Amino acid sequence: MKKETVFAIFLGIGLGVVVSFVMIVKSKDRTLNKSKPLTNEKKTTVAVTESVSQIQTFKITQPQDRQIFNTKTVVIKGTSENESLIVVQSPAKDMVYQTKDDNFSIEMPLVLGENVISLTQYSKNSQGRSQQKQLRIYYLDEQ
Amino acid sequence: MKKYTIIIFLVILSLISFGSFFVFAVDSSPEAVLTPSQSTEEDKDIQELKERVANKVAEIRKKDQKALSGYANVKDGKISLKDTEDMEYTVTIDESLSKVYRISGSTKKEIKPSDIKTDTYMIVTGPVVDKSVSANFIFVDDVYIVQSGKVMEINKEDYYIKIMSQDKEEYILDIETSTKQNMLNMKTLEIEKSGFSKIKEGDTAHFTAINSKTEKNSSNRFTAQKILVIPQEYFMK
Repeated sequence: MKKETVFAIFLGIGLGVVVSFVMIVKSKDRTLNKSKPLTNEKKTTVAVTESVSQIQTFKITQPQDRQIFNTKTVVIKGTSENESLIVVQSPAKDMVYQTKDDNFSIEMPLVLGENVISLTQYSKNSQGRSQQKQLRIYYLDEQ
Repeated sequence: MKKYTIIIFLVILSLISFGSFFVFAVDSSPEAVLTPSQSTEEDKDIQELKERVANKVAEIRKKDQKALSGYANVKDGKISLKDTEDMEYTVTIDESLSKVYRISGSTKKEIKPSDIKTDTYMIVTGPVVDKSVSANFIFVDDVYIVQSGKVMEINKEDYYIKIMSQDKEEYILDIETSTKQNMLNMKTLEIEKSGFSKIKEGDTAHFTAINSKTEKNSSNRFTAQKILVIPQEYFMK
């Protein structure tokens, strides 16, 4: 075999390897860019924060209406106006809570069976006008 | 000879480049280049991920477990339930599987399905398909009214107060010796014990009562279990 032929073969192999390497790297990048994250947690958080700051209203975020619990207490979370008075009443307990920011979290005891929990928000300078939300949840120890 | 050399060079270059392109284009998944030990590790990770997803699904399912509640309507031995939104569900009871309890305070006692009569208030759990629920458990319970409104009238002779709720419904509340009467302390925002004489027209009252579906209850008159008064002065601050 001539010297030029051997050189051409090695040069061909060398360049082929370089081209292959570039292709592998490019194809990996493309795959990573195409893959979607398993959760859209970040997007949801942004959306929730935005809507809360825009609407600024009285909302209960947890628990859900008609939800079943097998624990004797429940944590009620939600959003309300800052420095508003929230009156929570249920067959088990009545509570009064003044909010320090836009979110509230209240732990309430539950009675066996149905628990109708009413939350009333009196915002600062509301002059008695209120917003009311009602939850119907169940403490059933058989579940 | 030069021509021959250039052809060999191009052929080898094309073969290697296109060979690698086809390999990665057809199967670009990581498994294609994994060694056996990496593959085992990957399988373990996949298994763990599967378990985590299964646990999360079970947790969400448990969290989302909901119940139906409402008044029973018994006709020809068949029970249906009308909920607070006037939706009617057929309740299917399996004598061997379904359990029926009556709740009394903090205890419950097993009763027979035949103890459920029309207008019995019940909580039903079990799979719901369309407008039918296959009951796993049925709990017969009291119905509570939890409401609030402005005090419109105070009757000091018969010890009752009239309340107008936010949705313009009028309630008459009998204040009895068993009624827990509380008032908000405007300064400390603590709930303090109070008495009937301290309630004024214009105050806001939050109350809890049991609706036993008696004749008295049908005219929106109830015996208050608890009453919490917010003095009107609180809103004038």
